[in-house]
Amino acid sequence: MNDAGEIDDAELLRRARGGDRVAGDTFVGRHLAAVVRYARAVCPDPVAAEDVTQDVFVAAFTGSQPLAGASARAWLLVSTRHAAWRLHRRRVGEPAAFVPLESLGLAAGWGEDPETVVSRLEDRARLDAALQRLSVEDREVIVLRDLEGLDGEATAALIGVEVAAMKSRLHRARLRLMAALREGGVDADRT
Amino acid sequence: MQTERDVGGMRCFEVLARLDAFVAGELVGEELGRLRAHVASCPNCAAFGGAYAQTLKALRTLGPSAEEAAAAARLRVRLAR
Repeated sequence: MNDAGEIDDAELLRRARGGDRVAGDTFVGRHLAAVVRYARAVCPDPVAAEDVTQDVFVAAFTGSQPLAGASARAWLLVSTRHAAWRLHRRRVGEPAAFVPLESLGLAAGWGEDPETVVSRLEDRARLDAALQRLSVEDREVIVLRDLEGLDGEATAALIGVEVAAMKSRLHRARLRLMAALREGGVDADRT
Repeated sequence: MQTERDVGGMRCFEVLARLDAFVAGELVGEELGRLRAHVASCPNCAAFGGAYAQTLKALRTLGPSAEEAAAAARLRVRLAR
């Protein structure tokens, strides 16, 4: 039991593996949205993401390795990442061509009226489209840190870099997202 | 970006480089003071800093998309079997 009187993830998983369907469904209920979102961020397409998500939970329920103090969420996300990366044809971790931060800032709308930025953020479809336009590496760090709220150390460990490198990647990814938001939509000037 | 313009002891591109640390509350002491002084007098950095913070706020409160919710609903059924 955790402080809230809820059954903790390790116990839920143990029970689910023992055939307790309610425990299994509770475990799924806690983590499904996060895994779905991350899988969709890192898999090549939504169908693959759905299959990967299913496989990750099935593996959790049929596995025998206990959580042993690890965060269930992080554990599931690591599994998701491994599965997703196997689906990508290109080599993982190829860095994007270096762009000076100033250029990223200008592309992100530095010097522009901030009102425009805010109104774009309110357009859900536009925000989703902007996220889709990012590289997988950029999208995953934003999903993990800014959408899922996974802490910095866990995020860095998950993506396999030092915390300082993760922070740098995150900052640049956010600027590229702001740029993608700025480019999207019918009012954008295509150059 | 006016890279040479020093406002409050910091330049615009330096503020940009420290913006993530600033919104995360990680800046302290003298560096925090210089950044604040710059932002107080530089409309571009003030505006962009606000836009950056708003972007983070929007991301942090983003719920599942309709597609994500539909996928989750399908999966919940499949996993219950």
